[in-house]
Amino acid sequence: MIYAKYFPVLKVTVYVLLLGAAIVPVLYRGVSEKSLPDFVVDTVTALDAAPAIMKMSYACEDCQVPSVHGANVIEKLDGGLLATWFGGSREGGKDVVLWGADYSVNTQTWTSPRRIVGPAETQAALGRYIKTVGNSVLVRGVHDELWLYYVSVSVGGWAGSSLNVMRSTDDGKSWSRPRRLITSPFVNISTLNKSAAIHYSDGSIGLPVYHEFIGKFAELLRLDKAGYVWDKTRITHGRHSIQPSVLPLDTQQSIALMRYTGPSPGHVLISRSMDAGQHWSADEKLKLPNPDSAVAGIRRPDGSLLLVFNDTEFGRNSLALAISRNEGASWNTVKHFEQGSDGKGEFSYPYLIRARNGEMHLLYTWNRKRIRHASFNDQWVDGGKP
Amino acid sequence: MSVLHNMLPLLGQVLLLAVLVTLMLGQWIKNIRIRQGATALLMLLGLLVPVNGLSVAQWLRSVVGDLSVLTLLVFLNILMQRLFNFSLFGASSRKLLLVGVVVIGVMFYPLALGLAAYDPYQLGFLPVFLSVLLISTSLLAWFRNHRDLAVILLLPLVAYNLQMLESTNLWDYLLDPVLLIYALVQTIIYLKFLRNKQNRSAT
Repeated sequence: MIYAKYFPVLKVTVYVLLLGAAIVPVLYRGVSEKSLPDFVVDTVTALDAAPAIMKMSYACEDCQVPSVHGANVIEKLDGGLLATWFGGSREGGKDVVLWGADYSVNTQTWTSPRRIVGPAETQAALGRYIKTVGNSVLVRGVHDELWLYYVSVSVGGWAGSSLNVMRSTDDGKSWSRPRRLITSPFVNISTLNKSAAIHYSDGSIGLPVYHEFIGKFAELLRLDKAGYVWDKTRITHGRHSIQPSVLPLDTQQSIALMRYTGPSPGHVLISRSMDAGQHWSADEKLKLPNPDSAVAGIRRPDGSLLLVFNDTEFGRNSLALAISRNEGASWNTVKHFEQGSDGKGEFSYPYLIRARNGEMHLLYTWNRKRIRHASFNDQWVDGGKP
Repeated sequence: MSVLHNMLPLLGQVLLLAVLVTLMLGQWIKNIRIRQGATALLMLLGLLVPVNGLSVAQWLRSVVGDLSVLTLLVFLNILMQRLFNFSLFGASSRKLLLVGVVVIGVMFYPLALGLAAYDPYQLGFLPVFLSVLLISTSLLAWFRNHRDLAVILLLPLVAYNLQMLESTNLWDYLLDPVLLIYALVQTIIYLKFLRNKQNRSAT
């Protein structure tokens, strides 16, 4: 009797409690949700009187494995560099791991490659089967910690990729266990990274990523200070644009330069945002050719933009540097890092950064056998002889 | 944190395994006690016994991904019905829920996979709008006397607020491809049933 009398009251009480547990955090989020912060724009200037510098070396000359690809690099706190890339018997192979090496500014040499993380450690940490690992991007956090975002695949090819992250508090000497990022509603496939991250004024990170399952399009992930996905913006849609390199032009404006994966002849794609990456214009083709290969860009403190790309319609045997002085509207090719005359060779997957001293560092895949390192400064870009 | 984030997803895989096992065992084992015992045993084996370094639940997780909270509730309901003859929610609420999943899912996935510039998945991050929509639907269900459905709609939101899954997106607590496939199959079966019924009454 008592049960029958009080059961409806109990049901209402449970429902009201559940409503409270559902509503209160929503109200809190609604009140605390802030408008999107500004981009942090690079203000590092070069020394005016510095002589032109252009040095070519290898981040790994003896890479210890037959095939290497997908290098990225970041400046360390001591002014040196840390690079990571993936390598193994072949791209996508089960023996592929992420390798890393350090560059010393004093000796101007790279250390021997060391293993950073592979499928085994990722599988153990995530509790899922991991077949292989791929592209990685190093990001500097607000507390000077390093984050390593990298791709792993459980099933299928790169279209089945997911992103993982590790954190280092000793500038890349040691890393935390990997953690998985959830970025897609369809079995959490397929999100890949390739290009350098951008920073927001509130300490959050914008990580340019792309999607390869059914659609091929570019996105910008927003990550909070703890490395969790906070928001996501679609840069393009459809089946023809991947690997965005996002360049903030000022605190609100930015452009995304992208690899074209549609029918030949290909051209580098560009999209613009006027509101700190919240909305993006429809992508347009630049006059620069693109043989379905990755591009890398940076903005210089004088406002000019640099782009490293394969300036060919087919093949990746030529790697060039182009400059734009009108916010990406037009480009002039000014230098070549590689120019294979016989149509052979692959010089691809460029990754470009600007260090605090104004020197620029470019890493790229050299015939899938080595990781090439080019360091140069503004004077060389602007025509000075080293 | 990662231990918590692994518990619910693994429970989801074990439930998926249990539902598959229960549906298969139902054909051969008529004794309900034996069926309950066999399901419990296979659930334990699926969770604890490693095969090539991972449990069956972990292998399953590698392929189908993490299941949403709604899927867990739907699977739990199937198990309760099949093994204990007890329903967590009524047939009409279940029907409404599955039809809702189909309607939303067939629009959501193509858009989320890049069909257009609009990405509905983005609504799941800092999901004020989506939360208000869920709460409103839940209140509507409550006052329309679908009380079980009203509660079911709030549970994923509460789980999201407690960050019980790895995802920081509310959609991942509401929907997944396994649930959509299940809901599609159930809806097709129901529509066929309706058509047969109509045909019978016409003759």
